Amino acid sequence: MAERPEDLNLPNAVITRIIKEALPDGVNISKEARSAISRAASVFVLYATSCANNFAMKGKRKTLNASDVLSAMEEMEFQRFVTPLKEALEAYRREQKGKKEASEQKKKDKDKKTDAEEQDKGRDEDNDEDEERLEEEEQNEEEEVDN
Amino acid sequence: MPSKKKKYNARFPPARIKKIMQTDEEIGKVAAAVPVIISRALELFLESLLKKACQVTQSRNAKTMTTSHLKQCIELEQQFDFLKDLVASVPDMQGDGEDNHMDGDKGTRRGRKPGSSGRKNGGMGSKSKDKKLSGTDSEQEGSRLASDGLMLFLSLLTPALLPG
Repeated sequence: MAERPEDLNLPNAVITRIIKEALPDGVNISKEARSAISRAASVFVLYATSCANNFAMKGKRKTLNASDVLSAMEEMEFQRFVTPLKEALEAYRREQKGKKEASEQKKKDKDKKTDAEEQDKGRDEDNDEDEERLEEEEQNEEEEVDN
Repeated sequence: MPSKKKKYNARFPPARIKKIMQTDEEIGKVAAAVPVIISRALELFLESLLKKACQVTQSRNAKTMTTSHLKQCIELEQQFDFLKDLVASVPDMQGDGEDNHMDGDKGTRRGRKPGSSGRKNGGMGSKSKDKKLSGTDSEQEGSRLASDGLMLFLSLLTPALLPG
């Protein structure tokens, strides 16, 4: 797998937005400095990753997890990041939970809908095959369906 | 009216972050939450770096932040030690004449070869030169030097990157 240097760059648009928010009005940034900031971002990712990996290895884990990253921040002397990062983590988990619940809800709704449709289709001779298939699914392995 | 509200929308793409992480051969799997918090950490880090560099910029009465300002900021803060290699090839500031950290080979003025450091071009402390002008000059060189510096840095940090 070839690692190309350009892959190591983060999107300029996001970098630019961060720069804009961090600098006061009236202060500009040179092209070279902007580019250096972008590279610094990549370096930060690599450094943080390496630190986090040390913690994972200490825990004999092969998968980096969030707490490894938090530990890495402390190690890197960025303790003041820990609290906002924990908040970000919470927010992310809530978001994921919300998404999961939403998709589960969708699935439930879909099932309900399918049931209703099935009843309708029962009256329609053309859809006998479908009906059988659906019935099979519902009955699972508990009963053998005689087709 | 441009408001400097920080919305939580300066997020980096998780996939790209993960790709960068995995250039480190030691890295195996990464939990899904990790790129998300790294993205946030990045935002905090860049904000911190920029704000501190900006203090340097303003202390020099400059309106444009240059790599020299970044370099000085990095050298002043222990937290940013890991960035030192990144700016190693950036020429030291011409500045107010008191900043003569020409330690060893750092900070070439005109020449691109590290060996030619210390060569004075009208004097480091020359106040007759317009600061902005010299800033521009060093920027032009900076881009060439910086890319050399990047390759050097990358080779130091992740030897696997370079072919062969």
